[in-house]
Amino acid sequence: MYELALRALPTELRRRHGSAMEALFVREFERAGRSGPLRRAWAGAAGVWDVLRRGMYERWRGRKRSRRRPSLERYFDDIRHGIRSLRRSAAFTATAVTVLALGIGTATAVWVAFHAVVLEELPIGDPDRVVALSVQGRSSEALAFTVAEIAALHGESRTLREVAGVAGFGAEAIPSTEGGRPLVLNMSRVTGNFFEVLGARPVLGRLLRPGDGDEGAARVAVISYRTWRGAFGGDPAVVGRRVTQTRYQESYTIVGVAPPGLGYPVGADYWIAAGPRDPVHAVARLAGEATPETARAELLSLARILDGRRSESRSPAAATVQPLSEAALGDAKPALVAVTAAVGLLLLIACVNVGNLILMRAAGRSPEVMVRRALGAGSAGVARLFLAEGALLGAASGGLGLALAVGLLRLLPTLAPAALPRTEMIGLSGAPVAVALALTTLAVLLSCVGPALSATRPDVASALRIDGRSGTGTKGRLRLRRTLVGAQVALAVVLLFGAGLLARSLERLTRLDLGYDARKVAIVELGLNREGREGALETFALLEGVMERMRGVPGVTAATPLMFRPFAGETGIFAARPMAEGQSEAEAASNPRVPLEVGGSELFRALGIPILRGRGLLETDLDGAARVAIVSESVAERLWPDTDPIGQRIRLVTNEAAWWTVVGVAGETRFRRLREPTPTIYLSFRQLHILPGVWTVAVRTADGLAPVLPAMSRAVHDLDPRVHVWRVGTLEEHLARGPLAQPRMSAFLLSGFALSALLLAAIGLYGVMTLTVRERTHELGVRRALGASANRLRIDVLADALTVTGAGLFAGLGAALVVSRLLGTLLFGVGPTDPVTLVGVSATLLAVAALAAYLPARRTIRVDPLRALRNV
Amino acid sequence: MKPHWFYILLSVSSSPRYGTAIHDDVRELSGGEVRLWPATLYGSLEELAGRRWLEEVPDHERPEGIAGRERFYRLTPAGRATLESEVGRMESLAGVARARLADAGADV
Repeated sequence: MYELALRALPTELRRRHGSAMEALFVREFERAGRSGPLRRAWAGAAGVWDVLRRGMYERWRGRKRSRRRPSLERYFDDIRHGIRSLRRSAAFTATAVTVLALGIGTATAVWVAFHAVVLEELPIGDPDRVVALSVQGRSSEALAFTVAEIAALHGESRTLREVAGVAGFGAEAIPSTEGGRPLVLNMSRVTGNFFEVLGARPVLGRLLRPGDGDEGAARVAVISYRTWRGAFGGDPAVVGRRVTQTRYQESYTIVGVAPPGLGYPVGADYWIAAGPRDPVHAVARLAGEATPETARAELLSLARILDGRRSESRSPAAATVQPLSEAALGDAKPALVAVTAAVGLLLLIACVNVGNLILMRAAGRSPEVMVRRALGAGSAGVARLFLAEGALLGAASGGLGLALAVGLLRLLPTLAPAALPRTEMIGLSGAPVAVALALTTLAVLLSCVGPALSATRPDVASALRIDGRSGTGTKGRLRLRRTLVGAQVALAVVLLFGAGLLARSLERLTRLDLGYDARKVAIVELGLNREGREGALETFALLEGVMERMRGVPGVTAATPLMFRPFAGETGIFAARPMAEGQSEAEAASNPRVPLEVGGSELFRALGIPILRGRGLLETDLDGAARVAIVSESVAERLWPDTDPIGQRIRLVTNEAAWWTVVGVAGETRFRRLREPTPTIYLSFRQLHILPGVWTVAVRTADGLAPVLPAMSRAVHDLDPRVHVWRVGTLEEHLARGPLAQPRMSAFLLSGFALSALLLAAIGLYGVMTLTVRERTHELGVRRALGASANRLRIDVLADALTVTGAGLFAGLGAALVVSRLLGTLLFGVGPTDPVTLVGVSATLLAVAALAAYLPARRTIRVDPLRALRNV
Repeated sequence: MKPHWFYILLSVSSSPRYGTAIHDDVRELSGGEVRLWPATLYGSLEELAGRRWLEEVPDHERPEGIAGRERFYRLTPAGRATLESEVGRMESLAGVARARLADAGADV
């Protein structure tokens, strides 16, 4: 491939340095390959682009040197002629420019976004050597370290040179204010050496440093570049401003701004120093020869040693070590890759489509070409005419495409799901002129050059037969057109299949039985200024009062506190390993960790979770009363496979004294994760004293959220002015913005691309069939005269179209079945070879193809045999 | 002067080097910023040799112990003069800029 590209260079340069260039390229290519297939592909593209660019430059230089001035007038002549000829066929020009501009525009925008978000390196030193490490327990739950354990890890590891800690719950939205205005910012706690380990440099001020987390140290925060540009309007004097967290009225002084693109943990808006007791995961720089694999093995054994020093064993079972560049993308990468690949395919289809248009137009221009040749124009002269037209088409569509891309890129940050990381990098990538230029060149090469070359070699014999009875296309060119249509069909099939799989996954996801009734449930998050408030019990009494007030609002039918807002990610899952009465400690150690939920007496009514046996929570389940628990079905089956769970007792922590009595069994729910139900133990919030930073309340309403919201806010504020409604949203919105956002976005985008592809393929097929019928007029007329029925002829033409489509479909399905494996984690409930999608795509395509071919086929019966024969 | 020319000249100014070595050296000199892809690198070498700013080391003068087929390049006196005048230009430019920024009271 590279060898082939080198032909773009002048012979002399290639002779002297060709092998050295190839050797250097191969070395760089392989080096890039070590940091993943994407970087390898990027290096390959960069290498080829370098050769092409240099080739053009060298040729320009060579020409300048030899002082052989090209006759400028001749170029202008070509261009003038091209403009005239394009204007004459305005419909063709408009179609070609539109199709190409749409292809170039979307491809440019998506590629720029993809490059900025995925390929642009993290703004840290030697990013390939920085990894995110985590340890999992037996039921693959994440096990966090303490800050002290991070230090021990650093001391004992041979594979990690420097180790920092990042709070295990990632970036967490905290109600805060800045100078009186409320903010929604995601806070992340990291150890003071976090930025040092990364080797990041601040944009403004300073970053965190060791000691910032020490007892008595000043409270400082580093804000992300995105936050600086957004919430703080890019204020150059932002250093020194203060962010105040509402709950304890703690103020953090901003000391600096992190570099753009440092989106780790995913979603972090600002970083503060972690306290010594915060649970953290590790981020580390690999030592000398260490690889992620050796680090993983060592991490697991060290985690086991550290675990042995804990009072309660958590039995680490697995460890993962991930390059930070991947961790910073979260789970967004597969969708971004799929969308980018889809856009590439769409551009390819657009090029093939326009190529086909040019071919068809060329077929009609055969006489013109012949006349020019007869008047003495050489092959090159004729080719230049077509190339000039190609260049004009390219310039027009490239310009339009660039404008479209700029518009799309400006829209993108507002359209992209909030969970998309590193979007600030898109705005920083400047005008995508180079990308648009490269893609336009590619598109013109693909769509114009081939047809132009083919058109300049008209079959002299056939064109000279002025009767044109044998048609305007030679067999070879007809075959080329059919191949192009077949290729379009094949590419469209790949896109359709991918889109179909994603759409089916989305459908499966939205049709899931949630296990609760999400309609008309609002999630209200309350901010609380707890400054000066004593004791947990009093706080819980206040929360109970808030519940009381909320229930009193007309239109509210039930209200309950929750642990966290739903679908808050793994962050929102608080788990314990229960021990059933009668189990030995060893047996208990093999129990899975089970997520805990807290709620009030109306928990099950507010969410609509069915109680299968026993009872739910009661108002009497207060602090001091007998401790009760309701378990979900799967927990009951796991702990008491043979006995009645009601009346059994559990401990939440093995060596804790308190026993909780199971009083009810509830149905399984998908409240924390959508893709699988979460086994759950439900407890009364008056008995399990946990104080999350935000009070989350689920409210079931009679007629939706809007009518009750003002009264609710007022009621809460009237009770205690320190409590305020911070964020509200319906449960359905939480579903849509959380676990459904990414599947919906990718299914939506891919379906759009696939429909465009289908439309283009149909247009291509229609064009070719129209031309074929026109060319076969004579033949069809003869057959008609000889007694063939109109139906027979129509079927013939349709069969012809379906052969082309069928071949394309077949090739496309083959490719689609291979490519669909790449969708991997994006799929849910359907396999990458899903037969339903397969049949659906084939049927859709054949139907559209039949329709596209039917219109031209209908014309065959209108062929008047006499006219067809006479028409000489 | 084009930045990559500057880096190439700078790279061969201390000792004769061949293509791949220049590539690695330039990458290091520029702190990873400048990456010379093969065609740019060798094309520029030819171009600079054409300007007589650097020259290919004849075989009998090749550095000892290296017997490969690599073409070594070294700086010519003309190249050194050009490089030095370029460095001088950059220095005076930086001086002017710093003075102006200090006048404006900006934080340098």
